[in-house]
Amino acid sequence: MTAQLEPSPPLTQPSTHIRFRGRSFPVLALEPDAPIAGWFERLDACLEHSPAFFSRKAIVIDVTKLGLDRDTVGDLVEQLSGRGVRIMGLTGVDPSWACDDLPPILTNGRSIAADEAPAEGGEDALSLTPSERAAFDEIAQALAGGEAGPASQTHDPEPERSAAPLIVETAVRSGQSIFHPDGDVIVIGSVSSGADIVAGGSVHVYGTVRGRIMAGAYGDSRARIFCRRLEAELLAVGGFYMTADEIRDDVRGRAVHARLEDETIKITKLD
Amino acid sequence: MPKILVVTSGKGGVGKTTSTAALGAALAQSNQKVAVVDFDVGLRNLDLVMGAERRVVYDLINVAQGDAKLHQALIRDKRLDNLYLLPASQTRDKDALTEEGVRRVIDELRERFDWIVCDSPAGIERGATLAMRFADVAVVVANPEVSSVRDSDRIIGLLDAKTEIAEKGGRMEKHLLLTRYDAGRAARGEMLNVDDVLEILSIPLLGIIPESEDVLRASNVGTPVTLHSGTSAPSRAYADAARRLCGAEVPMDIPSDKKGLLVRLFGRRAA
Repeated sequence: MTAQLEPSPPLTQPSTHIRFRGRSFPVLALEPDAPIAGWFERLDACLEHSPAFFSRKAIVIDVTKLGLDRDTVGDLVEQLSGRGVRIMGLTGVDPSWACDDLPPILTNGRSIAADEAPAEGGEDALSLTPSERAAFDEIAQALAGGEAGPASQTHDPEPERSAAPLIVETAVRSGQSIFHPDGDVIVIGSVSSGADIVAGGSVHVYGTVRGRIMAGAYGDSRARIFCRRLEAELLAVGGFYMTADEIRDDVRGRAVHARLEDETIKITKLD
Repeated sequence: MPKILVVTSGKGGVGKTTSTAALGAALAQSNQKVAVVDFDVGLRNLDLVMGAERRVVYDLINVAQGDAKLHQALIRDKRLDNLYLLPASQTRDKDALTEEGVRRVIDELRERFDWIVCDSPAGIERGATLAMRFADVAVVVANPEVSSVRDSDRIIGLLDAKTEIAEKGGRMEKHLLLTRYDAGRAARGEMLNVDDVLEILSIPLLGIIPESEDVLRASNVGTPVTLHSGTSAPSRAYADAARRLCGAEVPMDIPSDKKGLLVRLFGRRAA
């Protein structure tokens, strides 16, 4: 995950100025790894399970670990776009590559590359006040989560999930998708086969789960899934998933909770 | 207060048209004025099942586009004076239907009839969404089979989201009509049983129509099954369902054709 901060230009003539505000948003960063072909195979396998996973999501591509040349990055972007991934930015590449053919280049959530857009007359747009800088650093650290990044030496080991839970009081029917990126989702009814729940936090279902549940969809590996009766097509926690085939018979049809342990989903009976 | 009833299912071939004709005729037999409307533009069938195919002059599209008057397009049933058919066009496709056109036709029908029974096409596209758009009661037709049940679940979600009554914050009244039910096969686990289907769909049960040769026989001679043989099992089941739609309390049973012991023995040997 990374954060983006829009520069606020100095206020000049009040009669004509356009207002910019510095704001930060959590975005999903996709980190391809080498070899790229193998990575695409895995991505395609994921997309087969959840074709709509990337739809309507802002995605940043992080190629820091790959050290690719410019043409390969161009290819990568094109292939991802072809799979319906909407790329809002690129990170981990030389900022001087910025051009109309590549998505805007972001640097690693800690500082912002000088904006190449000519709109502001070549002004160095990055002028954060100390308080803005502090707020930004705080967010970047919180978002860095459990990942071992240069920014995370002093981070709080329990990042906040600030948003209130989303409570769904009806059944979630086939074809419906509940998306709550910031917190827990609580469903009072059942989740039908062909329905999706995607939550940044944990998912609680007080009915039967026959569809797909993705908890900790933004990488929170402490997220859990609870349900009264498990008949799910797929469970995912913190990006690790398990399909119906892999769910053991002794937990199927039971009240269970699922959590991530050593990158594997563990399902335990509640009663 | 006229009722707009949509007969829908998502999946094709589960018995929407048969059920529309049978319920329409059963409602008309209880002295209510009924119009059955075929929304399956391009693949019309209701005229055949109603035995009116040789009297079609104008159709739903003509009326919706203002090329014909409603009374010119309505076909009166030869057996029941208070049963009318508004056929679909076979030469056009579903794009010829507009929401405004359908609204005008439905409003006009509302002034003349007690029940307007809309036969939805299969699928979840334009034809199906327009057929349910102005309804206030839905009969969801499902076979005791997993793919049909999941598609019905999808349709229930759409009924609660894409209809005018739902958008205004009201509640669509929904009923499940389970067709082609074979109690013997359900008991042997070759079909879903009634409880399985009700557990998944969680909407009230309107009726169970047993699998029967009488249904096909009636369709082929262009007679709604309720008019074809009033005493056959499917006919009684549809008549009971129609009474329940009108608010009567009718005990739920699975009608079957009573056979003598000998017939059953021979039936089994032959099978």
